[in-house]
Amino acid sequence: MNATTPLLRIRGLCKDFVSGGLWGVRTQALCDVDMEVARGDIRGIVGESGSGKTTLARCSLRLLDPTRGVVEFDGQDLAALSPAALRRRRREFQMVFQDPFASLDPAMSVGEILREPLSVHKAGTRKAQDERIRELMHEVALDESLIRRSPAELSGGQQQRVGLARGLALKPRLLVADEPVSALDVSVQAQILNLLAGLIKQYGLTLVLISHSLYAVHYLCTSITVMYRGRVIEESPAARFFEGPRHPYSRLLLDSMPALHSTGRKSISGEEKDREHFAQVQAGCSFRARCPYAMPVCSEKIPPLAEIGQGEKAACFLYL
Amino acid sequence: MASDPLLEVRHLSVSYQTTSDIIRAVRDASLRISEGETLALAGETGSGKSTLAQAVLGLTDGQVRVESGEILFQGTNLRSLKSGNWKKIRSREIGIIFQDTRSALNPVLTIGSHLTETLLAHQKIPAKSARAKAMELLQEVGIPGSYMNLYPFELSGGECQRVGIALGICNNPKLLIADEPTSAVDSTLQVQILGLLQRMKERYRLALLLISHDLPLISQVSDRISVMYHGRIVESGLVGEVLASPAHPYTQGLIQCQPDLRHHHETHPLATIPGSAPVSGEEVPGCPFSPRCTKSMPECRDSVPHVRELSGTHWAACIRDDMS
Repeated sequence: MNATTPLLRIRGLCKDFVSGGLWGVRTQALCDVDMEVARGDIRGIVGESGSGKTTLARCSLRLLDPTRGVVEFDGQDLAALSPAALRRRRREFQMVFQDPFASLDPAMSVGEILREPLSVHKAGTRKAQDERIRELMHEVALDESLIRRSPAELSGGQQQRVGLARGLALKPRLLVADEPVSALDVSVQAQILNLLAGLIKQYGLTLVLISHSLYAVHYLCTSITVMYRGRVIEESPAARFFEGPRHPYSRLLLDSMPALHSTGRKSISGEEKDREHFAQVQAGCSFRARCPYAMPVCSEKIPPLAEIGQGEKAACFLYL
Repeated sequence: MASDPLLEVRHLSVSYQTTSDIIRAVRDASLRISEGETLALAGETGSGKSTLAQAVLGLTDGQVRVESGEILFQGTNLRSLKSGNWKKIRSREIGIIFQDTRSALNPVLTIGSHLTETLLAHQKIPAKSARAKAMELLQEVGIPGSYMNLYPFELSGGECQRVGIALGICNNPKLLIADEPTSAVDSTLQVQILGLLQRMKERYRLALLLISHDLPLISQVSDRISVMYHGRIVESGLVGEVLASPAHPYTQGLIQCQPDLRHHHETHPLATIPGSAPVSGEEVPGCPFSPRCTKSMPECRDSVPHVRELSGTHWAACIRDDMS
């Protein structure tokens, strides 16, 4: 593939979940998501809980089958691959999960956890694997003495370091990190973010960082995708985004970031308007009930994600 | 500070039993809350802040045990009460809001039943007026009355948290304990939930014990703050004073590693506190923070530092002389 092919390209991605019961309630977790992540891009995906960030991550890595739509990794449609070929391809894209403890097998030692991806993908002799495991421990600043410990014996920060090391074991080209620091204490979050920054450089990684914290995304990312109720509503280069995002929801998100020395509470437009039943599916823009700029057209049609400036896209009738 | 405290905790030590060990979760902790005041109990995972709140609520059956110290509520030592009387005080005078209301609610009961049952359990009123009161409470927290018949799973995270607030205040308590009330919702809703808490607090003249690890949140709603580390309160004082001029190296470190929009991994890297907090129950000689403290001295390992008064409104437990 040539160098301009995005490493990850997602087109028209939809994912419905049908929850049980007699009537089978259908929830659209993702609606028509288009996204491209270029090589070397550090992409932040932000949005409130339930906005579809994690579903997008899982569909991108084919950990979930999308209902509709195409996921291409390095120009290759993942759905077209045979299960065996997909499995081989997986060494190139790996994931780090939100809950470091739940994502580590409690019955395995740290060393076994790190060896697993290597042996599944038959990477090297046992001796070479030992060497790689030691190297990984060193890279994520874990003491080698922890190699025989079980995950339960580690602190949250150490567990997430193991999760990171496992994600990097096969030297992937794309790493998707789903809220890698949100389960950790603030003092440990900073350690993991700094570690991640170093590893991105060292491995030349393309990273998709999912986070509800704009601070974490600002700290690491080169571009930002904002999701709201299953749709991408804004996409911008990070520098541009933090100068002033375009979509009213993104502005709300940025304005409501908690700050340590802010005086008093900020008044938030749209307060007390968020009374909508969240599962309710309705026509028009899903943010309109909270939006201070809502216009009649907003309840008639769904605004498409459109180019509105250099590399900036927004799904809002204010710009159409 | 002149008024008598509503709640006063004196030299409280609490431990809990696990399958193999007895964990000392709270060690010699003291705090006080006056009527209408908001005290934030700040600390990281395992610092003992939730265990302290459990002890105040008297939720100490079985695993959690108060080892020593006093818990005075309006001058009554709760520890000297029989468990039935403690329960009476707890349910009428002290309300609680949980971190994740959805999982604290019964999934097969409607929102309306939760509220009416809670009201009926503690107030001798007819069922009909309990229902009317429930409806009124919902509207007060910004939830339409039509939600009475919905089940917890049908509500969004923000809506659940509003219901949690309605449940916490429904019996007109004097003290509300909120355990990480906004950590399950995102920042746009966090502001709304905090605003609501503040309004309810003023309206009902509640004192609030806010348990949180989130300093920005604390700075917005609290009058005073107590910082916990490894079961001990290491610093306390007026929130503005503590956050502007923290005296304890742990508080200083915690403030320094708060991210904001100035930080960037290339130009302005985040400060960190080296190492990680001791696991609760682990015994650390002397000052519990000394193994991670960049300013520690050999003497720090000798004994647990006493709480020292820095000003009439600011205390810290650190032996260094240059505490500002």
